[in-house]
Amino acid sequence: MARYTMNYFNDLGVCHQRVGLRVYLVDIDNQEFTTTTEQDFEVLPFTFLSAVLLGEVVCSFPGRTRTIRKAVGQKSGSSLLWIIPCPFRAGSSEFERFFRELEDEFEEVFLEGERIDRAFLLRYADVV
Amino acid sequence: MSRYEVRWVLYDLDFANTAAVLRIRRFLSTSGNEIAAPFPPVVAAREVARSTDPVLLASRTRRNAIQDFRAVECCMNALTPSGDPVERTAIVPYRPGDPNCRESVRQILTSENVVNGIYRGEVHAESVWRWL
Repeated sequence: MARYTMNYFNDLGVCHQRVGLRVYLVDIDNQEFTTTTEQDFEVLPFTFLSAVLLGEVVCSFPGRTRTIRKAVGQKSGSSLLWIIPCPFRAGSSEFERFFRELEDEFEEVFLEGERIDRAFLLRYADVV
Repeated sequence: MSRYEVRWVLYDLDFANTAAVLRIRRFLSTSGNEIAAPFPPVVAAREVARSTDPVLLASRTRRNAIQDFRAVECCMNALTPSGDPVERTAIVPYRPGDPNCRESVRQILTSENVVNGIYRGEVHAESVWRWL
């Protein structure tokens, strides 16, 4: 599976710098499959690819990132899903552009929102 | 005493220029435990009169296009009769990017009897194309 270094913006406006985000395929039994570079460049939105950073991953996101599940090959009856993290904050212009570039009249896209763990949520919401 | 009360809240979806009236059930008590779900002022400011228009339901069933709404799952300062921590869910009706989104989370976490919480973003059970 491909792993990209990117800046991730959570829903509370905090930027997590140089986070490692994975792109991969899953089937109906949740078995994971690696994607090729060619497949990534064919499917991933330009907004996503242009935000990839050079260099090493520095940290991980404290929870579960905002993730897209995109059906692939629905026309041919395939049941594979692309798992694509969305590093852009909901409501931002990049977020809208990301989805517009994914749009396909034949294949569905589902959004799973992020989850921010307890201790970090207190910090990001300026409680501590 | 009723275990919950019904409220109607104007909820901004993650996608720009999309909003809906959300019917929520605010938990008031469980088995005699009087801990209510947080409903702080900034969230209450989005409350609307009962709507006869089709509304979205705060429900985890896949019958709804939106499976989960933006919310804070709160751990409360109380225990159930079986000894488990009492948990309550508080809706965050503002879209990320709106300063009131972060303020909602802050006010929920600082509400009475809230110990801590987990933030969860929107989850869509159906394709998002309908919102673009």
